[in-house]
Amino acid sequence: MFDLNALMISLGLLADPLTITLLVVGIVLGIMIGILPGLGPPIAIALALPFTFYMETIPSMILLLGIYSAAIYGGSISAIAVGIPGTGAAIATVQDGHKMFKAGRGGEALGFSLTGSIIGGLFSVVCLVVISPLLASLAVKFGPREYLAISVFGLIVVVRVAGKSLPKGLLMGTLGIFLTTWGLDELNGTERFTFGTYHLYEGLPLVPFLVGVFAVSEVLIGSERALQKTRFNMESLKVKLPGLKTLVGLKDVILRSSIIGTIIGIIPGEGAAVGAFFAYSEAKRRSRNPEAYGTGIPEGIIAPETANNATVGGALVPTLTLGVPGSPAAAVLLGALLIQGLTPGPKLFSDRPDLMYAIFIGLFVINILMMFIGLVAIRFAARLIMVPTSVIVPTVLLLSFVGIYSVSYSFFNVGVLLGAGILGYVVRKLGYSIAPLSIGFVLGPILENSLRQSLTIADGSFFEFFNTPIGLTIYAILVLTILWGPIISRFRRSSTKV
Amino acid sequence: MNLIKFAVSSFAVLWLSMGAAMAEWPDKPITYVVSFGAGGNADIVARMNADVLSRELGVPVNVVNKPGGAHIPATMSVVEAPADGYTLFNWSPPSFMIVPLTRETPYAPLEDFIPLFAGISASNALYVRGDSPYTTFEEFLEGAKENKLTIGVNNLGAPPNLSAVQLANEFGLEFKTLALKTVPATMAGLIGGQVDVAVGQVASIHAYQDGEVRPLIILDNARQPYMEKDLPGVRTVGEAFPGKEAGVWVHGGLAVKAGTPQEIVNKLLEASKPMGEEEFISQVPKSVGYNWVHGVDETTALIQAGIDLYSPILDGLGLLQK
Repeated sequence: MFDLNALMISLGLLADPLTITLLVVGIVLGIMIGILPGLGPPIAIALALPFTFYMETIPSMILLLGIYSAAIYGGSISAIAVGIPGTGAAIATVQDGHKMFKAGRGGEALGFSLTGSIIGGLFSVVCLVVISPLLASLAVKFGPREYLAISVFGLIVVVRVAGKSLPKGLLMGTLGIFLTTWGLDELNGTERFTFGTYHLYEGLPLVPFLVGVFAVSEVLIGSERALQKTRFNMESLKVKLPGLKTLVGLKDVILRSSIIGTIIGIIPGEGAAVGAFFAYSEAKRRSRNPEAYGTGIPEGIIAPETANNATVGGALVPTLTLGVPGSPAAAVLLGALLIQGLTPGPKLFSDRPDLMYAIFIGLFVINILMMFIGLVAIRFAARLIMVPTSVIVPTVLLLSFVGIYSVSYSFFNVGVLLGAGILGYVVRKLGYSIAPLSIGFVLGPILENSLRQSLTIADGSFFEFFNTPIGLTIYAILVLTILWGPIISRFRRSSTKV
Repeated sequence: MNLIKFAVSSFAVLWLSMGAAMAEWPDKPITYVVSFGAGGNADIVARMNADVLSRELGVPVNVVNKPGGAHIPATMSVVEAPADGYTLFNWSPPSFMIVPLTRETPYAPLEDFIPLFAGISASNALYVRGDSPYTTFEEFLEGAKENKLTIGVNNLGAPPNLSAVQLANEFGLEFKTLALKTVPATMAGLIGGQVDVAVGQVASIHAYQDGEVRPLIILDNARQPYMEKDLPGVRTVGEAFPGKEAGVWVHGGLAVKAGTPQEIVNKLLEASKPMGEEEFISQVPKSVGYNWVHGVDETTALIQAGIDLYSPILDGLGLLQK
């Protein structure tokens, strides 16, 4: 297994000045694209793809992996500093991150997100290095029935904690799912809610919808308020990385979020956004005072930010070992490997051990360098609080319009962006939360597809439908999650009576 | 007076700039619409094509992915753009063949487009897991007659699915069909035990360790030279069972909107020549088939042959849109 020769070759290639330059360029580019709403990791990687045509395999992978990791991290900067998530992965960070920023603890909040991202990234690389064959066998076990179980699990768990009230959350989650049913039915081609326009054949596009619901609605809400001067003192502008003592105090949250992120990353089709949501929900559920979440606490930043970067290493597991992308961004990465004449799949690492080592070591170096480059970036971001909201919010809005249009060249998508913004505004005005709406929208297609395919497999048999050990385990955990609280409280009550 | 002056001068400017545009095409970036998501085989080859065109024409050629919606939104975005050579279309079996044959579309491929060339190509093969009880196609046939097996394909209505349907019809079999989105995901579903048998591509074999998956038969009629490179010794349906039909047609390439000036078509044809040369073809990923056809008439004939092949098959399935 261990091949010293290949290790030396890959170290030699990594130490190449060009590779090091690409590493830095990749991280800087990734953070910048991550910050801009509407442009996410898949687009960032696709933009750089043509440049890899002329590169060797290892430098090109280093460039793309740098962009991938940094773009996921970059989204949190705008989430915290402006209250508008730069990528889907940062949606869960907005609540606590922006509250903390506005409370004059911006430098600290940005420090937490950077530290969490690095730890999550490093954790998932270790998983990738140490147990990727084992993890690949987990990914292969995920068929329609297992997807169905994990989607049901995710939806219910997230809806329970993301909104203020359960019925309202469920209603929003259902609305999100309903909106994903628009478009051509994938299995039989029936038109559903297409309103006679082929633009809706693919349904509502994900990125414009999410950016609209979050960014545009934020602008609309903000436009109603009289502009208040945010109070801050110069001390709060200083970027503060959490000390070791703080991190030790948060170790449970960090560890759990790292594991959740890595696992969600491994499961094909579930990306960084889902991982971040799961981790946030889990941290809140486990917390002794869940009410504090959403008011601007470090746990509410570090949980989603650790998890979303942990999805990177996780997503690479099926991408490299099975040829099945673990996330939309990994799909583009897979394409880059194909362009290099490689065939990702079970044979890749035995054919190219040098590439394996280069990817592993490269990811370590990327995460560590991201720490330094990220520090520079957030120094600027922390100062954004001095820029009046009346300048920064319209700028971000304009950038999201440009972002959405430049990716699709489609005015229809810009229309969806606006429409979703109005929807988000109305929803918030009525006192509902947009987080369950967006998680319903993200999970809807997986839910529908896996349900219908599970029914095909079951072929009318109830037993076959639930004949899935992994799925049953997930359902069991879900039931326990829901009932644990009531059981405990009843137990406590009866014991106090005695 | 001033108004007339303005109208005349602006008309003159417009006319001049149009003349200039014709003479100097291309003088601005070109958009290359791909109806698949980024990262897949079609996208990769399209990006390689865009790269060649950009080098030959001296302007940026930007790939824009518009996946989904039965490929209709992507196709229509080209139909609705002006026929000025600044919007190119990556045509493929679904957009030019299967979708227009099976449902009403707001376009007709050979009337609304001028196809320029075909490059990417594929043949399908039937695979089982390495530890499957079926070691030969004949054993598989017996097993499939006894039990209703689950077959994995990438997407319903895509060529692998049509191959599976043809297989079922020709040999009197019945399957449960699972659509697993992409060909590699279908193969992973096979290894993971989600499906009993999978329709992959002939070149899919290269991703797996020896013995991990077992090819049973190539789902095609006549043997093509490249099959020997990927699956040596594996028979085609046409070879093993003369008289059984297993035709597939998987090609893809570049088209422009009908009405694009002839000079622009000629320039594009000239600029695309390197894609038929060995230097380019050797860069195409190993797992992607490639079959170069160049020229408007040649490519149109190739597409017509595909329509002639799939029309009766789809009619037999009751799917043909009349």
